[in-house]
Amino acid sequence: MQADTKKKLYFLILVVFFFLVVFVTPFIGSQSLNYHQVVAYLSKVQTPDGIIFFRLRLPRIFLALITGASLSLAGVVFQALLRNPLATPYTLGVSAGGALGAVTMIKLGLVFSVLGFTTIQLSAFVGSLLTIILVYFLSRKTGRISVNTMILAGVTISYFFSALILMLHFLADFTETRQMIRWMMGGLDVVDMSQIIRTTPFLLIAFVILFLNSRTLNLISTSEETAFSKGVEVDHVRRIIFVFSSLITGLVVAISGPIGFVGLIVPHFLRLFLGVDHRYIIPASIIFGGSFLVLCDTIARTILAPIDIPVGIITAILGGPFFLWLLVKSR
Amino acid sequence: MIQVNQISFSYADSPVIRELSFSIEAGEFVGIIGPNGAGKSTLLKLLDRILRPQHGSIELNNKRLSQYNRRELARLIGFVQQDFSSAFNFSALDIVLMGRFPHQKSFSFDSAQDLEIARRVMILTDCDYLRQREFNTLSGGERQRIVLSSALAQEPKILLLDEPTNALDLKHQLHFYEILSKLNHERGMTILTVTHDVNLAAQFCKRIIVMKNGEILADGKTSDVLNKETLQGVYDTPLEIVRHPNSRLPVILPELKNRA
Repeated sequence: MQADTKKKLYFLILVVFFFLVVFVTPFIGSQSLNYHQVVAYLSKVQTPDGIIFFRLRLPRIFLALITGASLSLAGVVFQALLRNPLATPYTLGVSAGGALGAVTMIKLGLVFSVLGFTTIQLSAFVGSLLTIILVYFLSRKTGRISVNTMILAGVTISYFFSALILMLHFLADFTETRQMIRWMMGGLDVVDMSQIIRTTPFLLIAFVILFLNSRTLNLISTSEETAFSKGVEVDHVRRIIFVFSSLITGLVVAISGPIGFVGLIVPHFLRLFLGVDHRYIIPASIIFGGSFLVLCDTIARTILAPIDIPVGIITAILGGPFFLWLLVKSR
Repeated sequence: MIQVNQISFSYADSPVIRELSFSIEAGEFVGIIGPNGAGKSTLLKLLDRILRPQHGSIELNNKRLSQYNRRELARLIGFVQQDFSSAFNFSALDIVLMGRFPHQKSFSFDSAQDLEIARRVMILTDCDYLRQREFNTLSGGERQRIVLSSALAQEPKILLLDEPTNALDLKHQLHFYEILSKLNHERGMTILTVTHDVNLAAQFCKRIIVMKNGEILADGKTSDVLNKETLQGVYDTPLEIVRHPNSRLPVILPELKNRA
């Protein structure tokens, strides 16, 4: 099939782009690095260039990869699950719940580390998960999930939590407020490699499970009844997909904050030339979502160097106009 | 083949199907007619276990419907829903290939056999030339043939259709029913179609089930059921039944009141 050959070619381009980004961007930064100095670090010589490369840039790039991949994949999955192309990983209130958790912890001032994670991160993660559970049970009707109720519940809870967050802002002092706002911008700068190592296995398992459900997602994304009548155990499958996509969103929001737009624009960008089949879009969103965020983060840390702009601002500045262009183009 | 015993179903507190019983033999071509809100679409969804009856049971090949898993069911029953649409822009071929789901492993790409079956059903329903088109850009008639192809790609024994010709013009209505008729005659496929077009049902269906308020008012051979008394009672509308000059099949004409 000609269309398939074309898709495979595009896919190959994405893979090449991925490796290009991963191998080139660590060498880009406010401090230019000497390749030989970096390699010397591998043979246990503590060169400054090696330290910057391996201790600062690589962990950050790795975090950007898993964050971008997770958010893009969650965007794809939520759009299919909710049958709404405008859905994002945050539509159901995950980021609002995470933000409320983080902001509450900042206000309480109980900031310390547990198992390599800060209490702010843990609180954000718990906030995300509680929100998702709340939305899930609110939209259950006679044992079945109503997708429309789910979107409405998610959006309403997001607004409600925003109000609570504003109240906490109002009660906070200047230092706390700055910390809160900084958290909500999303960023990849505070990186501890052990956090990445501990979360990555969960993310990878979720990626595989969601990928294995891509054909089912095709059917669910058309209509529930179609999925039923063509042999999908809709309720069961939807629960699995919902749990794993919420989990990966909650995890990355807890670590990197609510980085916006990635989960919306990456899926739409990929559908432009790969079509809507999830068997292509899911792996593509993992590969391209990751490399896209690495690229955005490289811009974020170099464009006003030595100032480190929060990457969420870059994704929004790039994403907004792109989405508007898409809107005008498809009209 | 299908045995429906005393099933009842209600949405929240409003009963839609009341203690309904009937049976369908293999190879029948049945039309289900009745006014809006009679429970016709709900009945089809119950037969495909998209909904489950609160009381009573449905048996398919002497096995309770609830004992089948969804894949098994999808290999036996194809369902052409009303107003199929997709939020995402799948190609016509993608939609047809979705019908291969119950025959495939959960995760797989389409085999040569899947593609061959998709090609065959699309030729059968006269839509092979649309394969690369985007489904959402097709006309009503084209879409219905694609949705039918998708159901046929499941290689079902039974085909359920919910007002399949609703949005179609005269020519496409006939064309669609001719395809159904061919499937019924040549392949012995059992067909149940819900329709508001009593005349189309009269031309093609061998048996008619008349529903109103969740109950069956009449059930039998088309020529026996489609009589003036039954239909006037069902639709609350005065009407006249004449015979088609060539086929001698019944043609239903509403009686027009107060015409200026």
